[in-house]
Amino acid sequence: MAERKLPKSTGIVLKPMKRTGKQLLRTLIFGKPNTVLYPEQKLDLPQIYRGKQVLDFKKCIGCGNCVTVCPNDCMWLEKVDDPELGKIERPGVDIGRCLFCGLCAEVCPTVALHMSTAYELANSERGKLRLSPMDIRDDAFGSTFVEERQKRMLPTLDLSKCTGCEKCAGECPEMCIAMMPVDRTDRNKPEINLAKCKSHAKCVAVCPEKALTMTEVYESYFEMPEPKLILDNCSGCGACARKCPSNAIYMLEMPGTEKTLKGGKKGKPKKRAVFVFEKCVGCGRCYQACKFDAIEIPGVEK
Amino acid sequence: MAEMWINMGPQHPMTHGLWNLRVKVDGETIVDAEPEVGYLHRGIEKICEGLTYPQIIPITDRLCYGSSLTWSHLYCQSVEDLMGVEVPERAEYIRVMAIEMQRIASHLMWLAAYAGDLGMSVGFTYTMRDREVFVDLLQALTGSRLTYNYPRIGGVAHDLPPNFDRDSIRAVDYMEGRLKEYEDLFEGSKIFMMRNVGIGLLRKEDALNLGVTGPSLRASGVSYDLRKDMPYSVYPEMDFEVATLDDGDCYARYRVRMDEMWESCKIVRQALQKMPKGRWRMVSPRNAPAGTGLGRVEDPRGEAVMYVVGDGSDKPYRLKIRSPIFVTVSAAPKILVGYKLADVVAIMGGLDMCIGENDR
Repeated sequence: MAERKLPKSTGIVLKPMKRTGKQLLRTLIFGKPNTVLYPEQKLDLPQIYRGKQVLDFKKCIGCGNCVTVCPNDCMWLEKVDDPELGKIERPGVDIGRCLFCGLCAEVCPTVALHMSTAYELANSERGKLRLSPMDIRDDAFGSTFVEERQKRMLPTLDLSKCTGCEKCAGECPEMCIAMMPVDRTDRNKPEINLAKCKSHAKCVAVCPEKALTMTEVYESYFEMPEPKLILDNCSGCGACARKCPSNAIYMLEMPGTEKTLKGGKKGKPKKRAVFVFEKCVGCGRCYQACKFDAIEIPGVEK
Repeated sequence: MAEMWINMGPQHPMTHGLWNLRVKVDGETIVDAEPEVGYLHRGIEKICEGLTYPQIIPITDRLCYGSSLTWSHLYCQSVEDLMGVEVPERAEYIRVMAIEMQRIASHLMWLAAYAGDLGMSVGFTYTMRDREVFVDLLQALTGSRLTYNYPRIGGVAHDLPPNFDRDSIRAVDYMEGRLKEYEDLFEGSKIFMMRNVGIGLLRKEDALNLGVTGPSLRASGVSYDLRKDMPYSVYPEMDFEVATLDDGDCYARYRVRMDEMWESCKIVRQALQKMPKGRWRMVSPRNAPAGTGLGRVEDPRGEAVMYVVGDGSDKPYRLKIRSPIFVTVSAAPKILVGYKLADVVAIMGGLDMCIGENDR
């Protein structure tokens, strides 16, 4: 065992007293207190501090990714009748159950949900801790917030306008657009390889129907599941297209499936769903909406 | 004189959390001791089986209020091992820097609690004040004061905030000045030394046999630190020493932690210096393959292990957590027997109990 110098009797008083005395002098001379008087003074909080959620109604598309990712199930989608935006679905938060992890803001594909620095959230009534979408609405907050996620300009396709003319595929300098035939329809659809896209926007410029537009897309750090269509099961009801928050599903007619009605007339052809994956946010609502098991998401259980 | 059992806890100033230490005393001398844990069992391992991989990160923060960053880092490390995710180098440096800051903050909180145990209010206020410097830094980095939720599978959540390098260097400089002050304050006090030197002897053989890790083991003369012995992250790049003392008493445990704070200051400086530019986060896969992942890190309290079993879905099949304190507290009978009842506070305080990770 190593020899230890025990402090002598003077050490009982002098050394610690020297230190505390120094501190006392420092406090008396410079006089900077170590604490703040809370209700009057408040601490400076960094911008990334995670307090109450703030939602931009105009950016939010109501996909419900925040609801799915929440570890405590403290968010839900609520139907809101907005005078400007019509009938929409927006998330609400139960602050009493929220653990302020910020995953909801991180997973938001359109950067509509933020964590603000508001932390005085206590309430004497438990019911008031359940914040409806209107309580967390602040459309101007996003402009004060510097988003850290990288954003890219990417072409997105409006399939209802597309005629399949292949001009975009010919123009792309990165060769990232391929025209692929859509099964059982007589149409071609440009498949854009987003990983290779360098945002030249030449495909947008050349499109005669203006079906391609450049939109801001925020980089996502979460791998989102992509839906897959089982064509034989699809009845063409269009429930998935109505549920899709980002309008990524188009219903295309399949020629040759018309039923012959009485009197020799032909009815309308059957429709099928077509996914435009550039727009898909991976929320899985089409999967939940489908009643005929025509949509599956690999690795996800209902 | 008749022997009797005394319950110290679950509500006792010594315990720092909910646990019970039963000591059998003969007069004032301790004859036997028996720690009882499990009052704070929240079933975290079971909760994790029902959550997806990214959702577990904020839950692992709740394992230990003193060093939550180490635990979420450990979880991410083990899941990265399971999924085979490459972490960008910048993220590794940020992680190491943040963990070392967390280690300083954790040791300072231990020192504050220890000073409070030994009736030294000055020590308590000084250390808690200086811990605030590092908590503020981590708040600026991560966005929260205690439950950081900062590491992610495949990187970290945010990049460094502006001026963070400058603030960290200042904080480390300030801390090194303060550490000298603490050494005078604590070691200059004869009362502190009398309550520490030669008290709570843990022999090297006992420590090894009981599986004690961390500062308590290093204070017993075993140089065992996972940062050196099984380097993870970017620790091989760092130049630091493992603080080891041979004595195995309370003073040695105190001294090892003080030395570790010096080394942590060094590592924070080096990590900031060597930090490359680039990405700090990669896209993490949603589903893990069927298989197992293991992570081992040096927690401020000892060796922490997480073992994840994946079954191909987006939720883990099993998550096993090895808590260092759960093992260290089992050494209580060996350390306590033979000392006086008044020494229990000093001896058990020196182990740095954290019940959150212990009971899980």
